Amino acid sequence: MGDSLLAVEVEGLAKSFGPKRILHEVRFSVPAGKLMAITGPSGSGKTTLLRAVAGLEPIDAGHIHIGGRSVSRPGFRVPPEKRGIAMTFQEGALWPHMTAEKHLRFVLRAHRLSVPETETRIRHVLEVVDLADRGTARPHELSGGEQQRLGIARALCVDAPLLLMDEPFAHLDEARTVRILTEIKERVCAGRSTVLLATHNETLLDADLVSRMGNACGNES
Amino acid sequence: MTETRGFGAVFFPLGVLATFSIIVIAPLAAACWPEEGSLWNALPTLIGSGSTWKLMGSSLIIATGASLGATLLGAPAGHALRYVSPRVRGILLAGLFIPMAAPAHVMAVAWIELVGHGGLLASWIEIPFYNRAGVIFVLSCVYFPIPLFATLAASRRIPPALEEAARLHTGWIRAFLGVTVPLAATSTLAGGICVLLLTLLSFSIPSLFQVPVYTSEIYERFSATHDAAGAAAAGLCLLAFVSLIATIAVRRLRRHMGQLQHTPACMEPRQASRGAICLASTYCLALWAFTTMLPLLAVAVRALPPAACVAAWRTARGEIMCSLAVSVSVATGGIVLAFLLARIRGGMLPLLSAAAFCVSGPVLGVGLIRFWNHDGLRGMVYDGLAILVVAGMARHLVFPHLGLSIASSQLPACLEEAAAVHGVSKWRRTLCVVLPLLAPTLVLWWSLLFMLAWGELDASVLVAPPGWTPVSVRLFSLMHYGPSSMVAALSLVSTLFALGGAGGGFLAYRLLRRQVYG
Amino acid sequence: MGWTRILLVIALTSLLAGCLPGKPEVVVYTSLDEMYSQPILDDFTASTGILVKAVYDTEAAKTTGLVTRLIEEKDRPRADVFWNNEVVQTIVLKGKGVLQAHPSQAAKPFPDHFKDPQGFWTGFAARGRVIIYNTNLVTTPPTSIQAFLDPQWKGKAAMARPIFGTTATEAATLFALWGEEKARAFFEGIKTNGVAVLAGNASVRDAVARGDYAFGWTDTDDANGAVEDGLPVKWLFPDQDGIGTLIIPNTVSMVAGAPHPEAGRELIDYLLSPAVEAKLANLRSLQIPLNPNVQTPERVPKLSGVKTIDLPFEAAADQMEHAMTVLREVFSS
Repeated sequence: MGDSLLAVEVEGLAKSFGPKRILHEVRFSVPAGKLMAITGPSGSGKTTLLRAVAGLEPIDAGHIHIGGRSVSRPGFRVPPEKRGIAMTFQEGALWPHMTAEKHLRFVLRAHRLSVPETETRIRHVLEVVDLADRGTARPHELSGGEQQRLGIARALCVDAPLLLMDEPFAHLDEARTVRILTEIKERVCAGRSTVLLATHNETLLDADLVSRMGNACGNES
Repeated sequence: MTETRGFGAVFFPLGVLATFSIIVIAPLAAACWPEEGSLWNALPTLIGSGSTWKLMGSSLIIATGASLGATLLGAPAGHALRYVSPRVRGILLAGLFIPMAAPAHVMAVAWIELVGHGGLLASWIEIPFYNRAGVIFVLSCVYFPIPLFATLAASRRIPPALEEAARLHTGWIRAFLGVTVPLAATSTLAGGICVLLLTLLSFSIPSLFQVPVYTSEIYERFSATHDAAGAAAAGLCLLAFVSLIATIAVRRLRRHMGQLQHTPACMEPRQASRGAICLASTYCLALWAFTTMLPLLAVAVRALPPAACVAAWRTARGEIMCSLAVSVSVATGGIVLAFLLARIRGGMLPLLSAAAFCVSGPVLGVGLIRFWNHDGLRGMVYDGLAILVVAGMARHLVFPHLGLSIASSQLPACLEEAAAVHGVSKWRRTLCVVLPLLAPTLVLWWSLLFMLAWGELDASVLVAPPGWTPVSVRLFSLMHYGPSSMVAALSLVSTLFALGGAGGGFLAYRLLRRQVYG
Repeated sequence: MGWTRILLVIALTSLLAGCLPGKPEVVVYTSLDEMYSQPILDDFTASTGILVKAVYDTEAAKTTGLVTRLIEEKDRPRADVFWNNEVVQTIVLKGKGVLQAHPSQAAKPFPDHFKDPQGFWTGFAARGRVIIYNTNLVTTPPTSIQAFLDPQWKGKAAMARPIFGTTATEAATLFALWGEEKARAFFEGIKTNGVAVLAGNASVRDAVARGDYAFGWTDTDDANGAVEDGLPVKWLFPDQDGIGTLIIPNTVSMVAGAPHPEAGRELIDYLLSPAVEAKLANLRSLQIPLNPNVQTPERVPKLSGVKTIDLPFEAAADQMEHAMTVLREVFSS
């Protein structure tokens, strides 16, 4: 089924919430080390698609492969923590009781890195997202843009083979967006990451692949 | 759905369910399924008896009256508190919560000390107090904080702009009555229905006032004729009745609850006029003085000289320590179990917890004896203080169970999901994300459970192990033969402990909330 | 030290503590008010070294809470001794197989009427069911319980709810003595005549002493308490020219399958000793000694001087359940 060179392969994916059909016959594949933009108007199912790939939503039909491994099919779902992914959330999903540094330290601990390696990564990622001086701040002490950058830093720091990003630049200015995109593309070019990025604005992106989600719930690549 | 699930993911819910079954379901089943199927024989007789319906009618009259009374006292205070400055509001809220924090029978004693036979006011005014009106009055004064909190919570969700828009066209009274009151009305009504349900189940206050109610039917069947099956049948009827009211209320209210659901929880109104602030503060202070300070002052006067309090402490030191150990254990065990139950999200489980509370204390007490009084491990629990902990947990688990289930479901799912997608295991998500975020709520429920366990009497009296007496049982005994100064002094000491637990919990809640959410 | 080690130490200590021979103990369930029973139990511990673990009844559950508990615990009893402040519920327990015989030598001097022929229970230190009246309101006190039906006293008398405690015992006795029809008519008459039904005998005493009611039906211990407190009340044994007064003894019995039978027997023998009866007679509770060898204090009425209802307690016990069902019906409507 899954080609080992393909980072993500989605085949015949369908998802409904009650009577409302969100995704229907979605299919695409992303080779490893590529950035794919998923575009489309609000309500077209971009977030649901990313959540299905992340393992946060069970699917009604089709299958999803990550790195050649079947991770989702009807009645079967590999838990998100075992998929080797990282993700940014549209709504931030920051933990109100943790400082910015603690956010990163908490997820890095799950990847069993040494303490020096953990601290080095934290420093680097916070610099990339321009939060180096805000490490001890908690989410409610950060502005909307800073919160979004912290969400991106959390996803970047684990260096996951598959990075899912849901409208990551909605509240960012252009300069910062470019800087972060550069970092992401460096990783993609180095073959360290594959990125699925949902956005309604593709003008800033120079994506390898673009998948457009229409209101018909399907997609065209 | 078959997912790849680890050993812990399968056995953790099973373990939680097993614990819940042992503590709540097994005693309930043991009480309701007596030998020889006599329960089913008792049910038709009970339903066909005229006195059953008369007592149910009496209970309903009292519960409706108390619910109306509590709402009329509490709802205006809920609205008034919105206009008071946040600091004063905190102090007033703590003060107005006292009648619910003190054990119900203590508040009844306090009112009797004030206006009952031989009470402080008895020589000035003769009030016929030992009747339904007396019970309704005392229950209203005990339970008014529920509609108060419900109204306050709703009114703080009303965006100030809604009132301001009305103010452009009319005066503040009409704006308040036309916009604020209707918007908070559903929540106020829900608070009133909570009072209705709790007062339908209340036993100690009507029994102290010698007013027959349906719960006394359960008690008399059980204790006068040793008819455990009849008592269980009566308990089940009460459970069915309460469930019916609760179901109708939830169905009716749910439709209207949504209108304030998506607004932030804490919206301060724009600067109110000095007159409005003054009026609001005066009403809250008057309510606090009338419902709390006046009766407790009567107890304090009766407990004079202070040596009586010292004597009460000396006489009942063992009982107080026993209650302290039991209440802390009940609160801690109950919170842990309720948290774990909320994590596994069992749909019907809160209903079973509620059933254990609704079937009345003596019926649950009989179930506890039947299930725990066996050789082996169960016997070890039954023979020691642990049985009082189990009794307290079984009886009051419903409150933290429901509270934490709601709090848990209101926690944004994305917070846990964010940890999951970054490789954090379920255990660490629970420990490092969910637990800290729910910590303030857990502490709040801990203190409420402590308070309930402190006042627990109905089930404990049947299972208290030899040599151990909780302070509530001791107090009830003293009411019969002890000098009234001793009863008053012990009531005061008991109230202070209950308030200490509740107050400590409330302060910890505020502190944790600030730490977690800033 | 790690948590595992700490837990291990606690577990081992508990285990060792459990294995060590403990102080001898006896478990007693008692419905006699704690203020009267506890000093006697403390004396027993002082004289024998046996630790007494007591479970007391609350007023709310008077006697019946413990009786229900004993019935429910029948298969694995926790109590060794049941010290009841009345007799009929003890006989009910005997009928349900909760008790075992203990023909104590100490029971020998007690009159046959007040003990079980097979030794399942022995009565001691009795109370009388008396009429208490307010001396400010009553010049010629009623001398019979029939006064509760007298229209002259309509709304001026009080009694305890007759389904609990000694009032229930008296009600069952009247059912046995008169038959259901007459007894039912009596209690319905009481209700029709506006007799106040209060929570307990102590409430009756307090209400009469306050002057809320002219007279009431209560026990000697409650009535004497009010007299000793200097309240304006007196009391008398009713129906001395008629059916007589009901005298209700405390009863002590051994629980079948008691976990500490030896200590239990020792406690029963102690409770039946002349010293205990004398002590109970000298307290406010004014319990009437039943052992003829006990010197009755001046202030305590002598059993021989009272005309008592001539009916075996077993007959009242037989009527108990039915009488309670009838009375619940009468007084709940």
